Amino acid sequence: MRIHLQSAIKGLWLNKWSTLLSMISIGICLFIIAGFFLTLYNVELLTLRLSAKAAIVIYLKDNTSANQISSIIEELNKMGYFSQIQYISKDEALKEMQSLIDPALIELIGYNPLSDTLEAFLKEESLKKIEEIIKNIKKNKNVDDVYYPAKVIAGLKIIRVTLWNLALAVFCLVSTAILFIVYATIKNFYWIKTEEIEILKLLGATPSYIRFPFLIEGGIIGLGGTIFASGLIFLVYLILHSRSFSEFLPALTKIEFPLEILSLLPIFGMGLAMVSSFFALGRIKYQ
Amino acid sequence: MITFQGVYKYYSGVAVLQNVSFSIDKGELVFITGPSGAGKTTLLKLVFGSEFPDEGEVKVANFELSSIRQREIPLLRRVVTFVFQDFRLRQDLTVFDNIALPLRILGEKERDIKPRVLEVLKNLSLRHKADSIVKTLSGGEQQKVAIARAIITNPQIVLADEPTGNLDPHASQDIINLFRRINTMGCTVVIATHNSEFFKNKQNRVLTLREGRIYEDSPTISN
Repeated sequence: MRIHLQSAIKGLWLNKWSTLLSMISIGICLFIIAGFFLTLYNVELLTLRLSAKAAIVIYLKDNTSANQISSIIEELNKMGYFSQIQYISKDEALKEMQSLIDPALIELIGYNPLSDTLEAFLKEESLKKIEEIIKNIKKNKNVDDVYYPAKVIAGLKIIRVTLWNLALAVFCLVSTAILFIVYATIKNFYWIKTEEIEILKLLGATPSYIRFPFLIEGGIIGLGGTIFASGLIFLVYLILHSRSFSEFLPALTKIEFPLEILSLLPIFGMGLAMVSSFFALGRIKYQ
Repeated sequence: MITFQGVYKYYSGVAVLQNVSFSIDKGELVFITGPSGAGKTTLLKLVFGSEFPDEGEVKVANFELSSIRQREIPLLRRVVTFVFQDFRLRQDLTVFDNIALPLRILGEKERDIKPRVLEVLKNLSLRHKADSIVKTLSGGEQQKVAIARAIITNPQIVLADEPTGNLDPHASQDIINLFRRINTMGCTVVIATHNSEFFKNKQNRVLTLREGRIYEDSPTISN
């Protein structure tokens, strides 16, 4: 193993510029892949959070009695679509409003314009039936109106699906690019070492003995690319969390960089590079 | 140890070896001679598994070369080693590392490799050159290194193709004497050469090839 490692490192050092160029190219490719998957991860997260937070807001007609409100809640519970139902009286709603806008403006109106409301939080599996649920709720004579931020969530879902498709396409394209970069690099290294390999064949080296240093070379190139890509990702992280940037666009500081996705990069980069190296060498013939 | 039975070999339809049959026993020293183009190198290549017969049978040690699989060739080359006219050494490595290479291929431990290489170097009077880079050595010294590399794994058969082709007469005689010494240790040695001086005054088996056929197979006893 030590011999193979030495041979691989020596080979890489002798071709240091093409090695470096390959590492940078692979690094950029991996950065693009990681970028897409990080975006996807954050959009998934956002969709999940919004869906969980979004509630159907049921505005009740004025003068709906407490008994009628209780029966509406009971009816909603029976439907089985909701994880939680919360009653907010018009007075509570006013208090909340006063905390958000200038109370003097509300005093100008002279009365409480808000209505009693029910916030019904949907179970995840109920999201598909949202239109039917709203239609049924509206049938109740004490219900004035129903609001659900469907368009926002639907929009996010479209973005999510589009991003998934795009990420998969980019993943396939960029992975193929990595395969070709490593393939060409290792093939080139192989040609440079033709004489050395011929000597090894004459001395009874097995195909795996001949291949091994090249697989290590491929792995090291893949690892180098991963380190370069990780460096770029870390740079982006630092920029997003820098003081000047967070003051300018605070929402972007909320972007998450999950370690479980980033830790896959070295395995992916090295694995892909080693597979490509294997194919670059082809069949070792002794004739 | 080596058996050829009705062997034919063609290159682009031209027969290089025709109906070649002979056998070499364990521990023999055999010279293969003949003019250029007689088929000496092809014959050695057939023994080494870098060419395969088009017709006939070639058996070397326990290997049937007519039907040998690619994956068996490395195993054959651990039993049969080859010394080339152009040495085929790694010019960028030291003498020590060149000789150690077959042992490393076999997966021997470094602590076992060192004494074995140094012993062979000592036997060939090259101990002082162990750390020299091969390309700094003379032709005769490089050929000695190539021979050392060929015998380090104690092979059953050593083949040599014009091993003195690039050497002056004095160095050539040294190399041939070295092969004789290797042979006395029990190793089968087959040397292809067109220089009859090496076997003229000695008792050795000589296979003479002409136009791809065995012209003569006889022990030479002269003077």
